[in-house]
Amino acid sequence: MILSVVEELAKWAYTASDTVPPTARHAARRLVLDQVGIAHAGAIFAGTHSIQNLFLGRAGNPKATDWVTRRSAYAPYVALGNRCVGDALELAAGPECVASAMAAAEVADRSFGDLLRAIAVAAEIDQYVRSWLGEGAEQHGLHAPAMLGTLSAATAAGVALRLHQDDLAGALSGAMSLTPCSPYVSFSHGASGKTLYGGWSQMLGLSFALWGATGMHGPASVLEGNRAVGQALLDADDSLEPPKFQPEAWAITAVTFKRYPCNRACHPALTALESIGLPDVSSVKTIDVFTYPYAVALDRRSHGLSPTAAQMNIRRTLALALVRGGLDFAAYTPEILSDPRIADLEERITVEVDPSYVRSAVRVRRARIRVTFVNGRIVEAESGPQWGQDCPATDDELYQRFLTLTVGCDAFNPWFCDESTPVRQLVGGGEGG
Amino acid sequence: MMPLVSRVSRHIEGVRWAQLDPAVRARVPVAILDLLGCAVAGYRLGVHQAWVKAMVTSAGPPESTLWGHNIQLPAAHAALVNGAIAHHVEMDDGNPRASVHGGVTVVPVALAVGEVVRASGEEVLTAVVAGYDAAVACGRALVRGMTAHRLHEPSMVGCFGATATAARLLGLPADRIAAALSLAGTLMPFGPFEAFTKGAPVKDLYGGWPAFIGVMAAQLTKAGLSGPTDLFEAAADGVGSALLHAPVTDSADADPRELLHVQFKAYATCRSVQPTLTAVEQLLPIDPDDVDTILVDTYPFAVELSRDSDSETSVGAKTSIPYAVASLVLDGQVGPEAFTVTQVGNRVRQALAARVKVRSAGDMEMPVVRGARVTIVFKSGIERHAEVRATRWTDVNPATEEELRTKFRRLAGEVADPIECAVDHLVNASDLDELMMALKVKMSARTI
Repeated sequence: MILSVVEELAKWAYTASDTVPPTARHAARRLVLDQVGIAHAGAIFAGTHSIQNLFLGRAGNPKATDWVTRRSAYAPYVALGNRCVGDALELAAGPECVASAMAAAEVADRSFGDLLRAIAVAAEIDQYVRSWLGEGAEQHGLHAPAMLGTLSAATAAGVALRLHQDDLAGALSGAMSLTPCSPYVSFSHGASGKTLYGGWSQMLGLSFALWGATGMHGPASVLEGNRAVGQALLDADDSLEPPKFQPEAWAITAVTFKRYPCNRACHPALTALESIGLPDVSSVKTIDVFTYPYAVALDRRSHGLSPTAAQMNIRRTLALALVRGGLDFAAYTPEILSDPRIADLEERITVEVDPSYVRSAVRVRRARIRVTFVNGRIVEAESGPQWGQDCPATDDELYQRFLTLTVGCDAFNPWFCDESTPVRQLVGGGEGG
Repeated sequence: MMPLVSRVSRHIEGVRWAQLDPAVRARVPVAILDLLGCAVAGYRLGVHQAWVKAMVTSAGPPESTLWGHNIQLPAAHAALVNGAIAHHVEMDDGNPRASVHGGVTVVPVALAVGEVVRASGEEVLTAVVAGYDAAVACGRALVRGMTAHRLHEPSMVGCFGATATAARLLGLPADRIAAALSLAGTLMPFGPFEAFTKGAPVKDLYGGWPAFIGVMAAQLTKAGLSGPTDLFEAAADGVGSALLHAPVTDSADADPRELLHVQFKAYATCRSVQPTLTAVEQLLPIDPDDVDTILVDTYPFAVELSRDSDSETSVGAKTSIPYAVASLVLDGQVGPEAFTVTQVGNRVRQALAARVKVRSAGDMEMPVVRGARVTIVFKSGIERHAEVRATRWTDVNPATEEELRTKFRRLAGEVADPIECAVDHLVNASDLDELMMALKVKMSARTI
């Protein structure tokens, strides 16, 4: 019998969680650590999210725990809130699945090790669908991580709940049928609703995982059929021949973290600028940035003066970093961005495509910068993103960041958590579902 | 030009019951009844029992009535479940100008949110009008792109109507309504048509999920969130670019008489099947034992959908021209009962369906003509022909109020009277209590 894509993914996921190696579990732990830290910092930076204000403390079952307030609520809304609360920081990395998996693990009273396995499995599926359909989503102006993240969110939740493979396939197909369009305009035009993007996918994925045994499923061919998601994203005339799903190297171990609180498009240029030592603003005449095409496209789309739009604007981000002497996670506020020195410097920064980054079939996330000083001196630098694939964040760097993000918070700490510890105990959520 | 969501939101804020065209005012209760009839029929069939039970178990604050049950759920959940069950029977209304199913997303939201805020009947009726207008205004801007991408248009743009209705009832001002509409547009489901043709249960959520988004978007906007104002017009990354490969530059204003363009369904099928059924109906009665072959020529989109449909599922069979034709010949009508699991597995029905041949007719390409030519070839060699250039109950021969009330009574059965009475009283009602009392009545032995 020929399996559809989601059936094949579910079949693999159903058994793969027993095979997740220590390296992949450790990589998942890094992801959990970072997301928990981001949530706490987000709550300090931007306050509790509207979602949390609406739903926390209200009745509903099954329940899970809000990471920041430790209050409980209906698990899908908790997943939504836990992901959304830190989104304004634009630091979250990796597949959309930690919040949904954590809530599901609480519901089903799973161990921390079960959680890590579910996340590792989901990352594999995220990598597959993103490499197949991610560019299509981007070309339609959609936010690929949010739109396609529904699949990893449903996978992680379904694996944590230990759904049978048929029910898991049903959850994947159902969630993908309702996956949000997620147009990039929320980001580029700085709408606060952008903070829902990652969380909505996780709420949706967890909902369908919870409904997995109710028969509420989607079409098995939701990805490759001739009226399906893939066909629409790739503008295909008919059904698709999907790429073969060949899980090999545990994609979770290749997840790169975000060193700076801005869109990844800005990271290479920012890293290159930092490599020359963030010169004094008054000494800079012009900065010319040459980077990869998608980064340039995002920079040009950035519209308006909001912090969110600034986070994908390479020129404003470089100006902000120079004026502020670096980019901490509280850098993007309306007050700071209104500093006239930023607008003045931004006018003197150009961003263009570097042809050498176009030749590869794989996206080359790099940037070359040329800083011309008032005194006529010219300095050039070239770099990929800090914490990128060439120099991934070390455990110590990530843990230090976690401590920074959670300073002054009563945050639970996943870093030293034994894999046998129940997730409910870790987050302090009591009896849960 | 002002962004579309801003123009639509101004319209929504400005709708006044007393200023509406009398024909529109007269149409609103009928549209509500039509949707409630679909919902009652869905609940009577007892569909999605396990899922409904899961939603009931998830509970949350008791705010709005789950129809057919003496149970209240959070408003967004009530709108979701009621919308999904109503959509199941595939008889809810539509507006071909935007390929929108207005009623199924607007009415469950109006009643769910209206119950929460204790709105008067007139306020609820007005919010329903606002919802229909908004759904079509936003849908018209995108319909071409949705269709080209083979997406299920109503599941997508239904969220605009639902949001408009919820926002209006929550008393949001125009700028916040715009924020809510654009927020809903970012959460709008991608809605692949595959769910319909392949007969997946999630297709019923194509009615309920936009309603859920509508309530959530309005609530979240009231709590401070906003979507992007240039949702449609953004040059490279708005919904226009996503679906039309170009920003929306020529959107039309909301039409306060939009409800008069709404088309109701006489058959429990996808609209694509209905021209064929209208033609076959002209040839009834037909003894199925005498039929050799039934030849159908209809518009290409309908043929493609039918070709792709899984007619052995309750949902997928509703896009199958052969299955629907067989049902009409056998039953003399095509109602919800033709698509139960038992019926779609009926060998007699499927055997007759196998004798229906469907072909594309280039002269009936939509949107100009949604017609069909049917030839019944009898075993005796005799042929009978019928041709229609429009579906029953469309613009050419719209349903009368009496026909729609008859449809409602047939679908609602023994619970029809109190619901009809309450809807007819709605314009003068100070709240929704009478209608909710009528809708709480157990509708099926299989009710949870």
